[in-house]
Amino acid sequence: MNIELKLQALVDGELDAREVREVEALLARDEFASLLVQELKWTKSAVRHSEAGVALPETREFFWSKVERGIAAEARNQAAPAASVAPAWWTKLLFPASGLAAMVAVLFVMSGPRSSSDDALNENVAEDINAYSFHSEAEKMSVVYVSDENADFSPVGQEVKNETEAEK
Amino acid sequence: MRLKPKSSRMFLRALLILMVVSAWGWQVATATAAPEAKVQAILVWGTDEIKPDNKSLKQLDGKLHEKLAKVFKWQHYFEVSRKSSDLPAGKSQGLKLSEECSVEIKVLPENVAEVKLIGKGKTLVTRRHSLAKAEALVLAGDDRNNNAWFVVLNFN
Amino acid sequence: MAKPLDHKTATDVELVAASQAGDMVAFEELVARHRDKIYARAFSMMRNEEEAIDLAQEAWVKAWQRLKQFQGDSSFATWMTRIVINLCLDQLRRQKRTRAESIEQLDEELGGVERQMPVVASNPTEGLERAELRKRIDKAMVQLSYEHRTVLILHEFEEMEYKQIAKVMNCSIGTVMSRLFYARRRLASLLQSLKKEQQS
Repeated sequence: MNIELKLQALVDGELDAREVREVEALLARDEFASLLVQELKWTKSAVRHSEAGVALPETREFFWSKVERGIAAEARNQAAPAASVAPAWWTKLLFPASGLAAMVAVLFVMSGPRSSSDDALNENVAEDINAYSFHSEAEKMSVVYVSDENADFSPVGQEVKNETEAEK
Repeated sequence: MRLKPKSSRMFLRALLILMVVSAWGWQVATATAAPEAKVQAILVWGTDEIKPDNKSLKQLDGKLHEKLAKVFKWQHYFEVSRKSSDLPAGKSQGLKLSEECSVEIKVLPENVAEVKLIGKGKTLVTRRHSLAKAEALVLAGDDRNNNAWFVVLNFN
Repeated sequence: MAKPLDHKTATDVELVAASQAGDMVAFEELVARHRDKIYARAFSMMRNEEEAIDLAQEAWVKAWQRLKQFQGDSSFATWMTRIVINLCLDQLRRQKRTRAESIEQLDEELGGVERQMPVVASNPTEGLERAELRKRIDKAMVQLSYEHRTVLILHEFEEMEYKQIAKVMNCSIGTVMSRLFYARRRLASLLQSLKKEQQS
């Protein structure tokens, strides 16, 4: 380990007693090493506990609806490959297994929290669309949010946005 | 002409039965028939861009702006178009909000509205919304450049 | 008969136990309690809001799947933070494979550049208000490569030891030390420049 890294390890409390004595002896006679330790110390203390506080820019309901959908999608994904790679002799087990999977799925839906599951029963979305639904009790609104990275569907006319961009 | 006591009792009994049956029939009919309602649909554009000086866009009214801003992350919400309509019972009503976007609403029995969001002629989302509670239905989605669109439906 | 769990007032330990038994409402409460911290960690590492939201979401999905593995050796928040850190590191590694190495990283590979930097012995952040200090550190950290930023985050924010960082980042302790050294020296230099900018 080079000397600079040893100085840093001293600052971070990662040296054993013998190494600490060695490095401290060096600090007493080497001014550059001493200045470097000072720099490492203030840098460390400035950074520690100075994390910028950022909050998730989505509401509790909206974020949870996405997590809930993700959990359901993962549950489906895990069930699907198991059935597709089953060898021929397993086919006898498929009926009971699928029955069990269906029961698990039903239990999963039943154990789902509050209104989101009900929301899902009340809506249909086109096959190629990924939508989340959630309910905000506080703002008295039910929301269906179409997640579309490419924004293929853009109901706000292009002319409106063009004008906006021209104004910018 | 005076009725005899026996036939009078029979007449009253028949009248009572008729009244009870009529009342029950009326109640059943009103419970199952789709009620009429009104809807107001607003197409909104959500963006973090500064307010454009654009005649066809106006800042969303304060109350709705506040509601959306509490639920969604965008800073600015502009009204693109607004349509209102009566919803005759059991009949589908279409509202065109922009060139590519319209909604079709039908009031079903049990005080439920079936709302279809149509984009480029294709039904994207069909949603059943209870009219029993005075709650808005918001159909929303990603728009280009990290913006978003909202179709806010208020029923009464 | 056992009292029903009041999710709002339950402790994390109680909520985790209920979640492990399949109670999704309990899990939703855990998400609500810790979502900002998990997102903040993802944002610190990715420096991109959309990516950070997606990774935070993925972390919660993974947590639900792995809840049975959580034994309570650490706090739930710490366990969750490890999940999101691992997801961020995977994502950053994938991104790194598809982009050219930065000059800064090449410098580090060649070695020694951090030794050439003059020492900034007097603290340029001294006397700053907490909010201003956070702002400057955030601004400086953006300019570090992801390896350097990550090692700083793990050491200073997560308070991990060298060997823990080496395990998480899948590298040697020596690499952790040299990355941390470079990151600190570069940060010191950036903070000094920011102070000069402010004064001029």
